[in-house]
Amino acid sequence: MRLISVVAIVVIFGFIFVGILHLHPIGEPVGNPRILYERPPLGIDTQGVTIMDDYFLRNGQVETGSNNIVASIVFDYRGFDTLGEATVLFIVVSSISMLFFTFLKSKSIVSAGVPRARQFPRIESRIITFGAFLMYIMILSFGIYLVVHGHVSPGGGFQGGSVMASATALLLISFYITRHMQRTRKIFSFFESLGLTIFIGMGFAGIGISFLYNFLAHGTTVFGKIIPFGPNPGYLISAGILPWLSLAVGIEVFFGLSLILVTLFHASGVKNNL
Amino acid sequence: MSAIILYITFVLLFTMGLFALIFKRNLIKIVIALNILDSGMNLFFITLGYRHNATAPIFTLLPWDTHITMVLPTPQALILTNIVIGFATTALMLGVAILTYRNNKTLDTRKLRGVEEL
Repeated sequence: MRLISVVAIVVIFGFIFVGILHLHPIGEPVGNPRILYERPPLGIDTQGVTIMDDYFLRNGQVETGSNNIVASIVFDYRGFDTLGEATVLFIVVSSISMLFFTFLKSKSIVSAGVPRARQFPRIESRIITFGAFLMYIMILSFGIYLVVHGHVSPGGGFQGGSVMASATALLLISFYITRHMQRTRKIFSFFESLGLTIFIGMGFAGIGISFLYNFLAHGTTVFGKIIPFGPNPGYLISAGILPWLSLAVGIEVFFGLSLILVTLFHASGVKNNL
Repeated sequence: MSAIILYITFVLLFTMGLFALIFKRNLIKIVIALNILDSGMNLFFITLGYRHNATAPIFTLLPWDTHITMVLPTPQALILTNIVIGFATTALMLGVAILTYRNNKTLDTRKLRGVEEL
């Protein structure tokens, strides 16, 4: 049986190796490398477009108003895919809550009769707590910056939410312990559901044309600033529903991942409570 | 030509992950193997969209000249989704591992042969 597995892995290795030899050389992908040349400043222009990525690069900034083409793909062109991904995250958080249901139902996570210091042995030094709190504020600010500037600079809802969740992880490993797991779970799951609800609500707001249509762009509202093609300093209020979707995803990812972290951390540290 | 190292790294990561996935008995090591496989796939996708002497697909304060090129944006968007999904599934698998250890006092898959007969 072991021999068969080794042979199978070697065969798969060989297939992949032969397969990549037939790919395009690295650094010269399919598509038109001259796709950004001689682009008129406004309007949709499909001259020289050979593949999907060429269309996104040539029209993404003008069509969605977002300087970040990756964000325009994630939240506009492939917005339905992003909704599915947010739903996957929601389902994972629900599954973990379901797995640790009896643990989460207990009022206090500290087992009766055992001193708290023995259940969570840790150094509660003033330097660690203050330093961790300081770093918590700074990491949280950076995460909020990433979420809000998702359509202008590298970043977006998923990245910013993950950064903010890492701040929660810092608090957990340094000093913070939730005494009332039930209340924490309620708050976190409320905000997580709120993020997903905002996302779906923004999708249904443009239902007149299609689901997740970017109805705020194209110069009708304050978010519909007309952005000509080319480099610019970046306008925070632009890109239609992209900042709103980014904010919704950021809220959902932050609270969802934080709930996962808090649940797993407390569940792995407590004995005789499940 | 030295950029072929990216494809070789992908093949090594993928095969290592597959090998550990099949032959390791510890549940935590299986989770780590899936993560290695995941990283290999991410590297492969990013490598597919790479373009020589190109910038990131972001127009903010871009130093503009007439010969500007950009890397392909769609693989980056796909990887962005894959990273978060990978994190979430890893968390779910670790949660299952925690419960498995708590109920059976072992993480060895050879000893986890169904429910004991009552």
